[in-house]
Amino acid sequence: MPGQTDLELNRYLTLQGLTPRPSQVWGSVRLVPLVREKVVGDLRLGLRRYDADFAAVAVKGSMNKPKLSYFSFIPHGLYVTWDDEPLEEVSVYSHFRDMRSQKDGRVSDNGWMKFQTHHRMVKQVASKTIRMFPQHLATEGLLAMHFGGPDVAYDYYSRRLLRSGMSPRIEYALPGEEIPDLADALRVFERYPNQCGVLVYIADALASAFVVPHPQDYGVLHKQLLENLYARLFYYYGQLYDGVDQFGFHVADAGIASLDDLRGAFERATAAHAEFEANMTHDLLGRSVSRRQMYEMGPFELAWFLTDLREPGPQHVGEAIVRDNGTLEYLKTFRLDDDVARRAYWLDHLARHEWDVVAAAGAKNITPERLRDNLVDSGFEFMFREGRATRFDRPRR
Amino acid sequence: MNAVRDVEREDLLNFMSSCFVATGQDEFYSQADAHTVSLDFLHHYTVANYRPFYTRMLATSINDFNKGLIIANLLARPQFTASEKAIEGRLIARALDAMPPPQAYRALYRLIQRRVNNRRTRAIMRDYLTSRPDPQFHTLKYRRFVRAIAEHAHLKLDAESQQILFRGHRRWNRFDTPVFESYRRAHYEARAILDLPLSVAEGLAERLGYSRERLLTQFKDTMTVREKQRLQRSAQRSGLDFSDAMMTMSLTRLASYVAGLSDAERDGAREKTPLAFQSAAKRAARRTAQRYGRVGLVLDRSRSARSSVAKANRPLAIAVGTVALMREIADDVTVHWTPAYVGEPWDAVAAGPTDLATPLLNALATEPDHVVIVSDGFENAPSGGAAEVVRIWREKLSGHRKTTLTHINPVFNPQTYAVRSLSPHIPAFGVRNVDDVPLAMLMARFKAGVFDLRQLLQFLDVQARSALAD
Repeated sequence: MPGQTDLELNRYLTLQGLTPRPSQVWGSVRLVPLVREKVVGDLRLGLRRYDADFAAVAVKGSMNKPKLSYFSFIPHGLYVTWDDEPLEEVSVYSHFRDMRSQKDGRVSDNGWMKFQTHHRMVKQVASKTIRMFPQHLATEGLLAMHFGGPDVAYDYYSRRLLRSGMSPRIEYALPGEEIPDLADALRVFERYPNQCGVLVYIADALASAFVVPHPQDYGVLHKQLLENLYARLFYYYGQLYDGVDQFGFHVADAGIASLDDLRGAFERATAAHAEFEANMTHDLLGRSVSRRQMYEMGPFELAWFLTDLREPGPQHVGEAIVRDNGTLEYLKTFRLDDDVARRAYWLDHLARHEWDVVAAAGAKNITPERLRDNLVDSGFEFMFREGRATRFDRPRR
Repeated sequence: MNAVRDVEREDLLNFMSSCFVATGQDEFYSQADAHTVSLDFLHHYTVANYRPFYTRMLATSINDFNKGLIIANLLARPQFTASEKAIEGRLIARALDAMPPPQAYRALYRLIQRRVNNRRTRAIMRDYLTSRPDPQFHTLKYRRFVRAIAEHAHLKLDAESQQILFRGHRRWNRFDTPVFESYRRAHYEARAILDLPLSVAEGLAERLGYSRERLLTQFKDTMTVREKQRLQRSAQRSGLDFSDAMMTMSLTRLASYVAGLSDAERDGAREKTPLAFQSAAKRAARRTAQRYGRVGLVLDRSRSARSSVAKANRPLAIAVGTVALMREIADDVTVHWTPAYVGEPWDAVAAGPTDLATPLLNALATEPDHVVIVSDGFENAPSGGAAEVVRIWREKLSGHRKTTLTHINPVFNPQTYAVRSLSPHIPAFGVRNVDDVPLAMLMARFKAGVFDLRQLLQFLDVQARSALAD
């Protein structure tokens, strides 16, 4: 469980090594391509598909006797392989093919549904190769926050909370198929030759950011964006806005006397235009985040992160692989629904004050009753001994 | 008054342009059902408001699908002016004659589906069937259509045709017409299949245990040119060589064919390809009197130029064909692709984003007389780039140079009932057949307002007259 001490706050995410290009709009979806200037090729991603209808990941304990499990529909996983030297295309291909032919986890089929059990979110499956579940790694990190419950058994907490913590912690998200226009937007998207990522905006709100190390990997994983998880709010956004506008493209015509001037002005305007569209990610990039290292792979580091919940505005959770020189090699994020973010926020706030409701409320300048109501309203009714009748003025037992 | 005329001119040119490209099939950005609905509205609107113009469209080189729609719409609505009625009848008959039979039958079948059964329609159907040079052959090859038409229009056919059409083969007696007799025998005897036309034989081959190879080998000498063109790849798999058929293809067909070849097949045809393009372009050039000076071509080979399964690579093929044609009918041609590409046009592959502004700047830098943009009009790197470049170039740089800009668009956009346009400064016109590029360039001049409505109608009237005089 990530305790408070694992988390570090810093300005973590930048698009270092990537250049945004002008967006491509389809209906309510805007896709901003990210092009990598220098492709190294010493880190590659491979796709592993699963046909199970539902899956469990043993996060703690063994696969057969898990102590803590994560349940979700997991349509695909990713293999990550790395080396000191750039990898050859052929060997990458055959390596991933070998990986795919390997058994992964255990499948049980009871006739009407297939259920798959996996061991660990991130697992080494071969030398210098790991298997991970994109986005689920991120959401599991979110759900696991303060999962154990209070460290001090205050008498206003319910027995259930004291006994089994926040379990089961449940949140909901939608697959990309449910998001209006997304399937068509991905189909008609025109990929750049060196494209290694994309920013997905729905009704001009950032829904997900996706970056891979190599253009070939992007080609394989582009349509998997449809199998990703999206916040429920994007379903409504997509329904409400039947189209977003192309931002007016304008070339400043002052001082243009020749075709070369015009070409220069056009190129500047294009770069500025793309930069502007990529800067609509300010609610993700350059934000301070809580970060936890998940795996170290030579010069690369796989980390889980969550934007600082104390800052107002949209919150994102995700995982990233960053090279030691700061280049962003892999990124996948998931925008949280506001109610999900609110739950996480209040839980986090409480945990920061050692689960002392009176102290936590004092820090917010509200009454403990009000803090209790906030928690109850955001879905944690089970936390308190008598629900809304909880009293905080009794002496501690 | 002028405003009204401008609206009319725009309506008519948009309709005409759509009739060149729209085929009611899937495109990269839109689906067939959207096309059908959109086209249906466009045709109803035009026939209701501009009927004489609508009629005369039959005399132009718009595509057969739209000619079929026009024929159905004209026959479904009464015409009370005697002179117009006569022109309509003659143009319809002529258009049906000039179409490939499957298209003509489909047009007539559309009338059956719409339950149009007036005297005019019945007469047109009767005349079409009786004026076929080989009616028995049609009866066999288009049996389903001929049967439906005969039923619908109450046609009196000869006894043997009636038997073939309306009776199951088990109840057929010996026929006197040789091709009917072969058809009857071919239901029982493999050898008889050889006397039938290929497309009829194909249907029976399987049940008689004929392999594809044996069928193609035995029909090698009796195949029509189009059949050979169509079956080239299938023949190659059977070890036959029809590659000479490439030399007789039209420019558009050739470009589509080459764009669909795999890398290995393309390498195999490497020697013949340039020759084939040259001869096709020469033939196309003979059909137009237009000649151009310096031409800058801006060509779109972005991913969307692949179009859909139904129209595989069509936009790319139009771009490739335009290069070949322009090399024949212009003094000097420069080619600028997006995404950038150098090499033979027929080796171009559609992939990547659409940046029309950069190649447009390159084209303008060569100071051409004409700039021709071939693109589906979906620009995204950035969207509106070409429009900005042209705006500034027109305002500040073009001076009094008379460079014309034309946007040739191979894709109908159902949302706007027209082809997608890049900018008000660049008149767009639809082209689905490279042979129509010179006509499109002329029509773009109408669209740019160089000629007025009266001249447009005059132009069409002359076309119709000369068509009927033939």
